[in-house]
Amino acid sequence: MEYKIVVPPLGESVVEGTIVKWLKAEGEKVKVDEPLVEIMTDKINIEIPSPYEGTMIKHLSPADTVVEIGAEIAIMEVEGEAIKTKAFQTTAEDGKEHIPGEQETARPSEEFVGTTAHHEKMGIHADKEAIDSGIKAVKSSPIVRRLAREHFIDLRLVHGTGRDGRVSKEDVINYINARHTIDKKKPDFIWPDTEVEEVIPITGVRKVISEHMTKAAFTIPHVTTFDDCDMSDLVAWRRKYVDRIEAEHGVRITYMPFFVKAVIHAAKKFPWINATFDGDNLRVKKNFNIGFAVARENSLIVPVVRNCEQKSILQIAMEMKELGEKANADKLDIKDIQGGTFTITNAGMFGATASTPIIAHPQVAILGVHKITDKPVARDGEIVIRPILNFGLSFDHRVIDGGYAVQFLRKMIEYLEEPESWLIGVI
Amino acid sequence: MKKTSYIEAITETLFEEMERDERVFLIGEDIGVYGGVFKATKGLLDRFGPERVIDSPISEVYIAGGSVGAAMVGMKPVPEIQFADFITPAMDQLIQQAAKMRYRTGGQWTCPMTVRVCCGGDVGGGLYHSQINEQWFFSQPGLIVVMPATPYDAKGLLRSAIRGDDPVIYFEHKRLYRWIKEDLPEEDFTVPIGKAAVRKEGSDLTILSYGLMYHRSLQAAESLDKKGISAEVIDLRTLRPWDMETIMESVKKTSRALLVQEGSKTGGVMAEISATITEEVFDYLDAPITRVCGIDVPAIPFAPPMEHFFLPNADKIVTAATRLMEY
Repeated sequence: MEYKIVVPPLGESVVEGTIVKWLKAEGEKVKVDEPLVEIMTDKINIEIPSPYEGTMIKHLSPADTVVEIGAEIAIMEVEGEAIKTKAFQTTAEDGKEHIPGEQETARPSEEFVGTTAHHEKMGIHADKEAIDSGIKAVKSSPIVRRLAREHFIDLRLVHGTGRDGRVSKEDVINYINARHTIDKKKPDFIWPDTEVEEVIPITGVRKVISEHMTKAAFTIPHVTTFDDCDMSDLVAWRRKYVDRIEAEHGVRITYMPFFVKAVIHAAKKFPWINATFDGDNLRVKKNFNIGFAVARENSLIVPVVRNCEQKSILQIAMEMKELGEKANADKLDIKDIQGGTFTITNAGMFGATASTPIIAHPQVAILGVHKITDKPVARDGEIVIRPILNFGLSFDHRVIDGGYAVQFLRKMIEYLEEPESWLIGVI
Repeated sequence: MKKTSYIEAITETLFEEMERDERVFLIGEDIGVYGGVFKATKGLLDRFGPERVIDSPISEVYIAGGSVGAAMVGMKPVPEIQFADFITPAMDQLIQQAAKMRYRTGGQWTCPMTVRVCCGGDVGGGLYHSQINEQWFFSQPGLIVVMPATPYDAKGLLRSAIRGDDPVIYFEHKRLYRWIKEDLPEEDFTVPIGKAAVRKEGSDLTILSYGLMYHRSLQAAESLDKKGISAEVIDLRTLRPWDMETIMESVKKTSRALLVQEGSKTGGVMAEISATITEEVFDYLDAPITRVCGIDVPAIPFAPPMEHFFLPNADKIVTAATRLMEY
């Protein structure tokens, strides 16, 4: 019997996705829960597990097609009664809302370990050339050659214990088991001495980042402008209140919420900064959903604080703290990373004094925040030491002119240099 | 349950089947008054009389030909060939008539007969009382060939053979007659034709054999266990049609096959099985298929050291298995 495969719900407010690639070819046998297709949503890509055991008959939508939730994308042939997966249920057994996504697919189940898809995902399989060379170079039996092909093994890497160093079936199985152990505690895989390079396939979230960056960098004509901000007053203000705020509200306030507010203030005069551009229309946003980049172990993610124009500095600080914790725990929901209108990235926390950030497409500007450094500056003809922060603002030169961007940045800095003029009314 | 030897199992079955079905009769050399040279038919003449337990002249062609004729007209003959060594005069009747009857009459005629053939060495019998020639019949479509290794199978396979509609060559190994005893259930049971028995499960290699060689293989497997080699031991039981499924599943699991056969190596049952394993599950093999067989000389020698040199035994099987594992 034939069954249609439909795009399952991919998270709140997600209405469509793009097919990145089919993981099961037409005619291929498929087990329940094996990944069928990779679909990319806004920033997370999801491998859709097979709801049935059977054979992939036809792909109805090729790679790179945009598909809506619920769209029929493939036909599978299922023998007998269809075995259904639980992967599509939107309410988990504990009664909580459950969204299939990165967290589920990133951690392979025990039975998934060892499959082709898994090895591809883990990036530890040999390529065809290496497999064939290994088979030619090593004395091996039919079952060993079969296992080498099935499990993507370069037999030259397997220690042979048979007569004259022959690789036996047991040797290969030991190698596979050892490799699985490594899989489970990745990424400390040790390459043999014969390897002169380490090949890391760019997949998953990293792949999406790569694609987004390429698109942004080569679609948007970037220009970055720099300007110094004298942080004396704000540093003094923060120093005075930081402990008290923490004691009362449980959040150790950073400068980031102040930058958010400064952006909003400056954008009142230069509204085009807070916008998206699709090549035809500039959509100037009336709300400020500010993304802030969070560096994780092996990737980057940009949670969004929504409607900052309606929130106090304290509220923004608390939300940033919460989103940052979720990001580090890999618990962000897809809604947490969507709908940004402007982005702030802080390379200063790692020590940078300048950087030229890439705009988060389709936004039109990004603010780079750098280290506050005590520097000698001239004030009233005297050299004094002041805490200086060098801001970098990258902007989309198709829609934002240089003068506009420079003035926006200057306006923002003026606010930050005179916090007392607006802080009282806000906090 | 009753402790029963291999030969007692055969005698009992003959009694039971003759009681059960009056069409069943016996014919053979010395089977009546003398009770058979190995006493397999002892007491049957007294019970069933000379019309159903026929002492034949020393003529295997008559024993076989008479049985074919009787089978064609509705009887169920169970002829005995006293020694497999002397079966050649019966070959024309068995191969040209019995094996082809159903086929050449388009199923209108059948030839339901069970030829009991006493075979095998390791008894000091010399050239003409030790032969085992199952491969001649194994290669003949139209025949069923069985060789039980245990009293249970001796009984169960003999029942299946007599109750069936086709000619069966039933090889009984004379070395097993009184050596092997087993508790047998009282109730009526049969052993299906064409089904091998996995007697011992193992993971490292499959040892396949039948008849006396099954016991040698099991003995070898126990020694191998002590060396840390886990052998799966399969008793083929039916040689034709042989149980391809059980054997292929086992070889797929272990990736190594050791085939043990009492008769001389060339053109034997294990040559055929070896070729089939290569055809069917080549991709699963981790070492060459290995055979331990009788050697290619015209017959089993009489001198005891030479007889032992000819025959496979547990030591030879262990040596071959060890080499196979080291491959």
